[in-house]
Amino acid sequence: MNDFKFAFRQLLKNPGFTAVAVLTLGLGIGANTAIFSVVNSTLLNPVPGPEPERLMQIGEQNSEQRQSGFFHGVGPPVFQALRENQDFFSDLVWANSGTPFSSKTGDFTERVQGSRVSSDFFGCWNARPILGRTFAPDEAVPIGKDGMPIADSAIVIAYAFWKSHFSGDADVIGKSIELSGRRFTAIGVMPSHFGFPWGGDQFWLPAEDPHVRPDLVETPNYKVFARLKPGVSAQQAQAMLDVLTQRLMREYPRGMSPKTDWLRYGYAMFIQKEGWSIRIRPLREIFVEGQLGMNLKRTLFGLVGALGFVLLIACANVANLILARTENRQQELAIRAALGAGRVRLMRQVLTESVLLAFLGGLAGLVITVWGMMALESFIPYWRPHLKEVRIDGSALGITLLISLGTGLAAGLAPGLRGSRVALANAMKQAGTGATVGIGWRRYHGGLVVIQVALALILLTGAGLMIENVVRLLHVNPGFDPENLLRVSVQLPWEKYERQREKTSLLLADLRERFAALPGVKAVGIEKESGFPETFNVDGGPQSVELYRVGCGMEESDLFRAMRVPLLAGRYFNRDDIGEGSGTAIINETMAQLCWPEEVAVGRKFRAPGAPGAGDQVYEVVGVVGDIRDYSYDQEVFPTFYRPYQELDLQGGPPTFLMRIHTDPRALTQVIRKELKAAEPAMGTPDIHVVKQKLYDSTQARRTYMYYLMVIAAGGLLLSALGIYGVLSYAVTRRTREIGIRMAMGAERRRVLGMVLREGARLIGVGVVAGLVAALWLTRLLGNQLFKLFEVRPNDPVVLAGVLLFLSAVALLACWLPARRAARVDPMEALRYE
Amino acid sequence: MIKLLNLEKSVKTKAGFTYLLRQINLDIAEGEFVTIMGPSGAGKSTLLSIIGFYDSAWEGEYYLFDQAVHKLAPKERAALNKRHVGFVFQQFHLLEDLTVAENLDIPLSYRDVRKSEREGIVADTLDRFGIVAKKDLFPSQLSGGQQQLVAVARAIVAKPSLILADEPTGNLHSDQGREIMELFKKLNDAGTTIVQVTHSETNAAYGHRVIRLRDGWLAKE
Ligand SMILES: Nc1ncnc2c1ncn2[C@@H]1O[C@H](COP(=O)(O)OP(=O)(O)OP(=O)(O)O)[C@@H](O)[C@H]1O
Ligand SMILES: [Mg+2]
Repeated sequence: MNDFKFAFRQLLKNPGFTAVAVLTLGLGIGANTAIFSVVNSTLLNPVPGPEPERLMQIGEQNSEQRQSGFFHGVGPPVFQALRENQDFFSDLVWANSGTPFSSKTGDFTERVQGSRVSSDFFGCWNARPILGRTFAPDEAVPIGKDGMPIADSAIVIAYAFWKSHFSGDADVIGKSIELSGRRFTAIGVMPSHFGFPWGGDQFWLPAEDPHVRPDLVETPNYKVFARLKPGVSAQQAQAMLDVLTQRLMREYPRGMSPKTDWLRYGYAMFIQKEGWSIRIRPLREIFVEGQLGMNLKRTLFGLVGALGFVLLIACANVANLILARTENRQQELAIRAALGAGRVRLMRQVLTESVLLAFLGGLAGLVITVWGMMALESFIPYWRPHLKEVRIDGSALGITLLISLGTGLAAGLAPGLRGSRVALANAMKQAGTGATVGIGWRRYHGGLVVIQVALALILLTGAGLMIENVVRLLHVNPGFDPENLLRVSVQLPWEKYERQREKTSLLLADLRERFAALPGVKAVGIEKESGFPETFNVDGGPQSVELYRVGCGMEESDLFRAMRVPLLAGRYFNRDDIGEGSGTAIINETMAQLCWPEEVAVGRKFRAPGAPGAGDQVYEVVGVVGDIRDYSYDQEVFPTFYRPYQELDLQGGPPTFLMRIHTDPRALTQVIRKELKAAEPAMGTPDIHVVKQKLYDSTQARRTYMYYLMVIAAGGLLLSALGIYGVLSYAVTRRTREIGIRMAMGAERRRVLGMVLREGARLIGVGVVAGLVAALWLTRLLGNQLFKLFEVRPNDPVVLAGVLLFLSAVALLACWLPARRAARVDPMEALRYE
Repeated sequence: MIKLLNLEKSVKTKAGFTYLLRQINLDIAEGEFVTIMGPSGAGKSTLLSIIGFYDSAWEGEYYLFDQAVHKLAPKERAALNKRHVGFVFQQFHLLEDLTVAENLDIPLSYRDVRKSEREGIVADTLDRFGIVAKKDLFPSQLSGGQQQLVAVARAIVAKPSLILADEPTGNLHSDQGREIMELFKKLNDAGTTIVQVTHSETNAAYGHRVIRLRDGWLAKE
């Protein structure tokens, strides 16, 4: 207790030292707790409630799907079979996102996405609404053939929907909500952190369990979640599912006649696919699946690594600070030892202060944690499934305390040991002659500086590579001229235009004319994507390729002219190309490379096997255009062929107009909406955006990541510079007498300056070499996948040179100040000091 | 060679101004061997460090040959020190991290003597002082007297034209003290000007004349 009081007084007596140490520690600890909390609640432990490891997802998968890594839902036959196996699961709930509902807002109908769920869905997650209640078992409503509930029902709405449609009004409970022409009664509002199974879900509807019904073959879209009963392992459950797989494959055999037994024929289409089986996986995996999960993982773990480095640098700094202080207290310790304090006593005293300091640092860290978490949340895409609130959780807090305590102990222990030994030695001997810094001490401080420099170098390299990555990304040629280009995607009312090619084409032509007449519009192109791949055989090329079909306008509605996509060979479409019979196609460069690498593509043919009896549909290449990246600079370009848009059905991507405009494209938005409404009163909400802005926005995540890395690296560099400064400055103080003697022996100031700078430069040099080796090794470890797409070499010499230059400049500046102080030592003063 | 006119040194202490040296007028010719004596606290060391250009905070006039030292910038004074002076400190002031040989090497390295030459000079000097066996030891491993020997050796190693020695034999056995004095005599005969501070009349006898200091005042000879 006495020690504690004394330590506290010591810290208060040195406010500068205490503030720097506490802040440094707080920064290191806070930033790390923040990232750890976020990683923990989004990646490592995203599942709430007790025994989250018992929560599972069950899905169907065939070999092809297994390869793509995606986990699909189940169909009614599988769900029914699962329901019968009550021995394995204590909870069995499901959700199905289905088709979006439409909601009237203002002039346009807007699409809102929600999930139909089992009535016990929320109970499985321990998820409580912030208003009202969730579903009762008897509230489930049967779903019709169109995926809509056949009767009015209760509805639970998401926080975002509550805010946008009811302005967060607490009286929403009991109100009626109209969606797709049906009425729903709001019974509850979920908190903002609940977005499951999809983060973009706006509402949840209670529905009857899926079952095989006579009127409909449903695709396996039911996401099924289950809690394993106590004592049941995932392996046992999988074994049971394997048995179910076998049973269902027998029940839905191949070769059924669609005429006599079309239900079994329909489901066999899924069940008899190669490698089909029912799989179980921990629920946790749904949070990190796919490319986007990968990206998030990479970003967050990248930050974990970077912040870990900062923590190490901070710890090195604090260790140096405490070390220096303990050295300055040798006198005091020696006196205490002479008065009879044992080694343990002395160590305890030094340690108490360090631990107290670490605790204060941990406290400051908590404050910084809160800020850090707010900053980090921008990385978590809203549409990602989430069940849990991101908050400082127990384990993160525990780790914080461990880190801060460990730092305190580590930083206090070395000087503590050393301090007590020196003290005893000093007490035995007469007050020693040693006034210069001992060699051992210098090595100790120096080692910490080397580590800091190395860590800062790694951080800077990471940030530098990320900057280069983003810069390159922003300079990727999108394949067209995005300047002053507006994209208008229109939502035609399905009821009226589905499978009505003629009518659709007429409407689109009408709209094109209206748009072209708007002031400032130079060109209007039409585009319509089919959205799914088709299989073709290529004459003189690969046997079977997956190609994407895109409809495009020609002549006055020419897509390529409007977008300024370069024509690499052949010609553009004209009116004669309209109609399946023309058999012409324009292909993109990727397709030309895929089908006829290194050869002339124009004049070559590719064919789709027609229905039995009918001949193949053959297309001849008449033109090759450049690849287009119109949504994001890093979007994958698929092998694509173009046909006149008049041939495409409404399903797939929405019809889209690309308008080249003289002036600011934003100004036209209102007029365009008006024209759409005039041409078709039942028009849905259009999606209008400035292409260039969209492209820029697509780099948002990367840019944010880059900024964060830059800030982190800058922080690390600053801390390192502080460390270098502190160590050298301290060394100069310790060596004042030595420097005085040297000057008395004839050393000029210039020479003293050089001596201190050289010492600093030596430390920096060793640190840089160590850091370079580590950075090269690390980037090699991470680089391949990180920079595959844009061919940033992980050991890019330009980046490395820039980083080296920058780091050296800052580090040398940190050396310069103490060196200058050394050069100003007055030998007379220094020698009288004795 | 050295001419001090009305040189005064004062310091500010808690009690106010204190004069450490008052109205010092002194002439030292080239090739002289002068001894400064006086009771403890008289200001001997203070005077010596002024002569050695370490201390610039004084008033009055100081001429080295024809150069007005009082008009020189600190940097130029340091240059004079480097060109002319070898100093033996009362407290030795050896560098603790360096061996005996390295301590001797220091003044040479600051005078840009080539490395090969330096080694020879250091070896000669070690030999001359009979401390060859100690050359790789650190100062803390030497006795007080041995440290003093090294300090004297370091002062003469760069062949200065002016040796300023502050009690160079205080810790030495009388035989060793005599050897140092003999060495000074020899150097003086060869033309080196020497100013020494000592309490020993025996040592003073090696010099040409004695200057007495008392409470900062120069006493009449
Ligand atoms: N920086 C200073 N501030 C105040 N007083 C000082 C300072 N330097 C020296 N003195 C005082 O000046 C006086 C002369 O000191 P100095 O070291 O020159 O004495 P000394 O004659 O060499 O004595 P000793 O024979 O003991 O070495 C002493 O009283 C000392 O306390
Ligand atoms: Mg003295």
